[in-house]
Amino acid sequence: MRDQPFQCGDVEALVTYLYGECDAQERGLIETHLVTCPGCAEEVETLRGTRTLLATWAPPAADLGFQITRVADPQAGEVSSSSVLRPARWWSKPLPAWAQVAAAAAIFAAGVGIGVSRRGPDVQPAAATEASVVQRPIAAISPAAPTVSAADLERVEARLRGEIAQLRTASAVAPVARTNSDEVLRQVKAMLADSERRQQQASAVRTAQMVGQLEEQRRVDIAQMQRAVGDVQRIAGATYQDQNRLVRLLVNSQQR
Amino acid sequence: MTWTDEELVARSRGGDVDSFNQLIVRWERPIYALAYRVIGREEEARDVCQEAFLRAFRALPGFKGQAKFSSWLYRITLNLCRDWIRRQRRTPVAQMPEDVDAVEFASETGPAETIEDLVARRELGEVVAAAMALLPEEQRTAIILKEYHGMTFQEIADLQGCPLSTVKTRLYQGLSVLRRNLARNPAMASGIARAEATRDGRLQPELVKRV
Repeated sequence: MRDQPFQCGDVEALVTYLYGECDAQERGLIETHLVTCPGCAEEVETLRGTRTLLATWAPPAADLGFQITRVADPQAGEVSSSSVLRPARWWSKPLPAWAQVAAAAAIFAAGVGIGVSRRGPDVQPAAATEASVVQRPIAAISPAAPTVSAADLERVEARLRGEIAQLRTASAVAPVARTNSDEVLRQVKAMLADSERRQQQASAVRTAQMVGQLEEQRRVDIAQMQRAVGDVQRIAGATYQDQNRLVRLLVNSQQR
Repeated sequence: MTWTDEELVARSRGGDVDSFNQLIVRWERPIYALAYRVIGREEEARDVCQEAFLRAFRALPGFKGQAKFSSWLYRITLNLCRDWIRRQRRTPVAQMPEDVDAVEFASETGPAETIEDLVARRELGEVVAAAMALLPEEQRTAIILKEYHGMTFQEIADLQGCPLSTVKTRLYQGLSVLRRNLARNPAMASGIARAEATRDGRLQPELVKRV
């Protein structure tokens, strides 16, 4: 509640009333005043009318879909903050997310497989949490690696093992489950299927939205054209009637 | 399960990028709408929107929850808008919307609105946008925060760094000048009549949930 009672022409109080932010007592005072003061009543009505007009202003449709796609990784030697924010537009991405996951996971799985086969079954395979499987290789390895040599795989394997060891020592989280290459492949397949499904759903939704927007735009354009044609027809009709009237006047005047 | 902003912020601060991406999904449209209405240009508003989230993400370690996440984000966005306007060194000119989201529009207004209404409303919106662009930045921003983002006077005062009474004065002066500018526009005569005729009907001033 304000310290002073409402006074005629107090625009701050009127604005507070207009937006419904005054308390019950002040609202009562103002409403009583509006009944007897045409000036203030008109002021409030004018402000209300302007607010109504403001409701017609909508922002244009925009292609947003921003997502943080990469985070600085100090362990990989990235010292500065290198977060990248970009729209999640599937057609503008250099490589779809599922393809990045596929490439990284394939390299990882191959590395694990080679490691297991070369060192024998007694060697503990590279156990991994989901985070290390999906995210860290993407940050560390180029996802586009169509041909991979054995040396590459060994380097990758060594790096992954190093990172996993670091993870184990750095964070005292839940114990990491033992897994084997089949399990890794199964997880990778599941992730791939899931990612692909999401991608398809997103593109389907996007397509439906675009079709809807195009259709609506077409209807608006047609309505505008029809209105323009209607205007022309009305003008032409009026002109025709004027000419008819003039002709009748001329005929009448000549007959006289 | 739907996380609150505060929960998502806490998870983001713990290094969970997905949580921050959820915050982006939740807030990018209001932030874009704010930037668009303040600076009046689509592409630049989009850039401001992206930069706002990027700055927020980078500054997350310093965000201690002393304010609502949304208020903090609004502040970052308004600062970016102000920087952009200063760089322009001239009154921003509202770019006529090239493509109003007619589908969203139609779905919100319901089947009662005909295509004719839609066209008229869209044209009206363009005139309103142009008239808003003529207002001083402080008045325009106060109106935008109040009308389209449903903020209280106090929230606007905090964001604009001014007393409560100044916010009310800016709103009053802004609305009054806007009305005069609109009344001078010949194209507005029928639009004003139309809007006023449907004031208690389909056209409602509350747009808080729209963006």
